Amino acid sequence: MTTTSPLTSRMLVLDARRRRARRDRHRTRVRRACLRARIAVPLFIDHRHRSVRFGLGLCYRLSGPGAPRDVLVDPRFVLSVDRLPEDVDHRGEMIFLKQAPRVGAQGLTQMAKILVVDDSGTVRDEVAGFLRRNGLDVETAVDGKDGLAKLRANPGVKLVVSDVNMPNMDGLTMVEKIRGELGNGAVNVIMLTTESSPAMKERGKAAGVKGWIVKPFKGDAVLETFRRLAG
Amino acid sequence: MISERAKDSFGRIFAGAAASRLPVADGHACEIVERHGEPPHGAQIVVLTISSMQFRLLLLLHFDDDADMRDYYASDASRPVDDAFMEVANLCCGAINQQLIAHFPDLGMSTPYRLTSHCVPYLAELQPDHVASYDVSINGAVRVGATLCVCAGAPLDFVADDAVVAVASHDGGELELF
Repeated sequence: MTTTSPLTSRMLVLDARRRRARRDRHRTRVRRACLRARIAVPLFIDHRHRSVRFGLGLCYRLSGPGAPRDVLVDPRFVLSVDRLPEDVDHRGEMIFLKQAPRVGAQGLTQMAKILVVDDSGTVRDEVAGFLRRNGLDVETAVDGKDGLAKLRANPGVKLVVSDVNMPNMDGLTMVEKIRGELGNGAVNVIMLTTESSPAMKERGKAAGVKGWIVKPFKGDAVLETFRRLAG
Repeated sequence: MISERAKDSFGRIFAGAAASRLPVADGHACEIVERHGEPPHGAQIVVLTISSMQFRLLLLLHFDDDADMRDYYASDASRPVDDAFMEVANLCCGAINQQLIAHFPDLGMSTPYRLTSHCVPYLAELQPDHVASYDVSINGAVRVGATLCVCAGAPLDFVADDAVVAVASHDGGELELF
């Protein structure tokens, strides 16, 4: 049986206090530096990697007990300490969001796993509404240019469902740019269009399109495949 | 320049597309009657174009933003009726495009755009080779007009198979994985 002398116990307690105080000082320094630089607040301290993570320019998934799942910090709206919303709670070394707000004033967004791109508001509402009612996270874009920007801002998207004929940038050009300019070979792309010509499909295939649906959209017929591709 | 059987084929293809795409649900009655003389009424029109090396087809769908149209195409009131109807017109023209592609593989289709009925007389400026107008009635209440206008750049002759038109008009929605 080993025993610890009172002196050793006292030293251990002091050592723990010193470590805690050092950690707190470090955390405060980091936050003050962020405030001065007006860049970003460290969203949480990663225990595993012993590193402080920032929201600037990158998307991070918040983790830890009590944190909502699938929450990303939108890099366009990096939080700063003085703008922390009331429903953000500091617990220990982590900052938890009690609720995941939609994109907006707080600049936070639910992680969109599916991006629906169509110039028709009716189709966007129909497709996105159906997928949301079935528990999928969906973001929408109004044309290829907007879709490309949304995908660049949210690399967490797993599936893009896009029209072909759209103003500003058509769907197939968008796919070519996703694979080329963005270098994103991982995202699955399904075209949802009135176009059914073999030549168009061949161009899609060559660009890396995964599948083709000729409108009208029949959600029940494709839901399971969408789930798999967005998973 | 356009053979009679090609004109007849355009008419049958349009009728198949309109009957399957203009009603918002299966089972809704859709009556299509060819119209002679004046173009259909309707303060607004949605126009789509299908183009190939040999011809250019304009589909004009005429409508009024009235209570019947709103109830039928924009019942949830989340969107204006013209927005909702533009997508319906897109589906209808898409169904025509899908039929024609069997005969003309080089087709391209436009996005829908909205004009007022004041533009309709200017169709004559295109010097079309074939113009046909239709009155479409859905469930006896909703009234839509349609004008098919074809300008040919070369002799045009083809025959659309009735059986294929009927089946293909109800296709769509299936996912084809590559």
